[in-house]
Amino acid sequence: MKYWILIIFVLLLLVDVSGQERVLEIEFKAVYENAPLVLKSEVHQFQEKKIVFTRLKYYITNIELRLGEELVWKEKNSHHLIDLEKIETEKVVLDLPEKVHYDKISYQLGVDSLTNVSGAMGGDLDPTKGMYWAWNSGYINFKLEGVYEDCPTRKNKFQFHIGGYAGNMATVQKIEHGLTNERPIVIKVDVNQFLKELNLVEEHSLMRPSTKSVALAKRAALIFKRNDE
Amino acid sequence: MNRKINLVGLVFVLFVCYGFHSSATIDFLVPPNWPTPNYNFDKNPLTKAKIALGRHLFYEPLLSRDTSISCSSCHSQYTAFTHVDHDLSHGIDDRIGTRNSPSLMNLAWSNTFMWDGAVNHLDMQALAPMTHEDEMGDDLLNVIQKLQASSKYPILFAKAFGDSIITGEHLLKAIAQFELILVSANAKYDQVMRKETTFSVQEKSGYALFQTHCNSCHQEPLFTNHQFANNGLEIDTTLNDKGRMGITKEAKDAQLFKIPTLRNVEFSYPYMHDGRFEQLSEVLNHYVKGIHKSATLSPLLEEGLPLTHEEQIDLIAFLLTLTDKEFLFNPQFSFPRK
Repeated sequence: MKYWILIIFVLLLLVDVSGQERVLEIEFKAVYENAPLVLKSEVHQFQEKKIVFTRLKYYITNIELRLGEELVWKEKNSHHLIDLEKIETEKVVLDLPEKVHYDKISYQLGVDSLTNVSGAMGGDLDPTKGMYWAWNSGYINFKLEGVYEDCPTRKNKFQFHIGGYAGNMATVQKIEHGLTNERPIVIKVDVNQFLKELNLVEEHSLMRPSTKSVALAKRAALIFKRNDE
Repeated sequence: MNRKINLVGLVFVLFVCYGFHSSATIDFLVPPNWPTPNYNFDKNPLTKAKIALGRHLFYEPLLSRDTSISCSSCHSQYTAFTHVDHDLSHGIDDRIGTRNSPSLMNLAWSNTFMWDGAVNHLDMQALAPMTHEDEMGDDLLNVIQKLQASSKYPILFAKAFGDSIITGEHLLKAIAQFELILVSANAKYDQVMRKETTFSVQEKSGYALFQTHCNSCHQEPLFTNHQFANNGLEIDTTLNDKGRMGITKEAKDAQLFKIPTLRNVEFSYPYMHDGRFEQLSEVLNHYVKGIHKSATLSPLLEEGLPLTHEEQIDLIAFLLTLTDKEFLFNPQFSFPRK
């Protein structure tokens, strides 16, 4: 008798779990136009000149799921540093409770202002991650570095470190995608879309909060697209 | 055999007691009639082991690229945790910075750090000098590797945080804990306020002058209102330091600098962000007849301060009552010898 109860219980549990997706995976895929973005080794073309990317890092934070306009779930301590040099960071795995129905996902590109003024943090927010400005406190939200043939800089390097959290220098951006049944959710991040309106010969170095950073942060948010968007 | 077990048991009990003792949260004591601290202790509760670790780190030259400079190099206890005898503080390789290092005390009440307020939280402050090429010239990951490879620090971090693997968060929180306990609240001024002693006639006259002319910026009991101001210093064209404007990029912040505390001011010379004045009398002379007018000058200083020579002497007598010998020579704040 006891065994029957146990077996029924286990079966119920199995049915329940298989009926709900408890784990939601989001993959951030860096691309350059339509090809995967490979750091350092691959040479791409930008405005008919050679360009090589050496670093792409950014914070994805405050992930939320919605059904229509209703917020149905939000991740606690939601801070993920995506670093193209560390492929394991490209996939964000969310543990959902049972029976969550949603058709939209939203997140922020960058670290919110409250976190920026809350002192030393650990994990992905640890200042050892190279995404914190020591001399003008605050997180770098989005970092893109590389070498472009025509950059009039030392070793032709360009570097965009986009951050700033206070007042009209705030750079954190909200991004939202409608969802289909595709799993995992794949978000393409096309770096070419970020660069295409820039003149890298003149605009190649940005390393502090400014109005330019705010404009570029807005552009950076537009390059995050779900596969069929 | 039994005795051996007892001994092991005793050592174990002692170890547990010690462990418990050093990880127990210590309350931060706010001196009577002082405001509520700005620091959020809930996010970094003080413990004996973390303060001890922070103290070791404060005096640790491994925090600099060539192991020559520690925090205490520019923040020496006996001089109110600042760097005396240098207008501009210097770092590794005899490199010279652009400002005079601020004194360190009562930091739990501060809401911004550095002369220009570049740093927004005490935890993050130490990161700035550690990584500045003219100061300690290292990077955080490299500092952590050096500490991890030492015989001493993995043990101290394990005691403090229950983890011998050193992280940036733990390093910064430990240093902040040591800085937080640097409280100066036992100067003669404080004793007078607590009615344990009285001012001399001259000090009393100076205190009245202070309350009339200085207290709006150097507000009691912390002797700062934590704001920024342009106090009429003519710009030093060898430095062209625009102060707060360098951070906010707003013209209204040109030449505004953090209003420093006056506690222990007797020992924190030279004065001003660029250390241009060596004596308190020079500072008062500036406020009386040296004010340089510019668009962002504090409106309180437009006419200069109307202080006679005698009044200036009385005011200095009062400022000397802000010296806290107990703070300056507190053995708990000094180089950890063991």
